[in-house]
Amino acid sequence: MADPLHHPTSLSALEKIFSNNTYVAIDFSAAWCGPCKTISPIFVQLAKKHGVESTLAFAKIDVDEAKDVAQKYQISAMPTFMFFKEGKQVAVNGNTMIRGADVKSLTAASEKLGGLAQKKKAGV
Amino acid sequence: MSAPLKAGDKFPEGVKFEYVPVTDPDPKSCGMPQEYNASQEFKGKKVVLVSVPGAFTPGCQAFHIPPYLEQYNKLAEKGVDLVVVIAFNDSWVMSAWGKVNGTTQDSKVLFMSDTKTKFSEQIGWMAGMGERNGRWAMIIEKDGSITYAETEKSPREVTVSGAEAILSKL
Repeated sequence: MADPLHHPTSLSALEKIFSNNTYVAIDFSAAWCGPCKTISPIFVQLAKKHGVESTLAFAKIDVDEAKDVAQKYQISAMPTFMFFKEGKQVAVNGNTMIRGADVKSLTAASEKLGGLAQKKKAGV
Repeated sequence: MSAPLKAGDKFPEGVKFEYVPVTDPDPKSCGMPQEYNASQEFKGKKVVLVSVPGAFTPGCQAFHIPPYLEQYNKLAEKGVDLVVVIAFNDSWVMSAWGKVNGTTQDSKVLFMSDTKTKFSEQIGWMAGMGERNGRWAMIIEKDGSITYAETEKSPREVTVSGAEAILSKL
C-alpha cells in the first residue's frame, strides 16, 4: 500500500506540497517523542480516509530532520498539527493548531478538511 | 569578553537563552528547545535574573533556588514580573529541574539554559569550575536598566545572589 503521507524534510519540499495541494494537514513530530508515536497510526488512517489527490494532502514532518520548517512554524511541543489552505495556515473547527496527541480534535479536523476537499473536487 | 555588568548599566542586546517550555505535565506532548531572546522579552518587565553553577547541584537546589520559588509572591508584590534562572546545563536538564521544583506552564519562574550566547561567560562571571556559570543575580527594570548586579565571591555561598538579598533591594 502506497504511503498516504508526504514526508518533506525541508521548506522547499513543503512548498512543493503546498503548491500541489489546496489543503494540507501537517503532523509535526519527533522520532523520540512518545505521544507522537501513539497518534501516528491514527494520522495515517485519517490520511487514507480523507486524503484527496491534489486537494488534501497529509504530511508528517520530523522536527529534527526538517529543522528549518520546525523553526519557521515555531514548533514548541510535539505532536503539533497544523492546517493549511493554499500554503497559508488556517483554523479548522476554530483551532489554528492542535497541540498534543488529541485524537478527538485531530479526527474532527481531518473530517472537516476531508469534507471541504470533496466539495472542492466536485467543483461545488 | 565584556566587563561585568553593574547597577546603572543597561541590559545588553543580543542575550539569548534556550529553554524547553513547560507544556502540560500531561503525557500528550513533548516539549522542544526554544530560543528565548532575553533582551527582547525582558523589555517592559521587571525581571530578576539568577545564575547558578548547576542544576540539581546541592548549593543551588538546597539553598539558592527554593527561596525564590517559595517567596515568589513577595517578589511579585514588589513588582517583579519574571524570575529567570540560568545555568550552563542544556535546556532539557533545566526543564526537568524546573519541573522537579514544581514549575508549571503558567509559572513566572523560568528555568533556562545559558548555552546559547553564554551570557555569564560574556560578562565574566564564571564559577571557576570549568564551564559552569557563576552564582549571581541581577535586577533588570522595565526600561532595561540594571538596578542590582552582584556575584558571589565564592560560588559555594548564597548571599548577595539569594532571594533575601534581592527582596531587600527591590
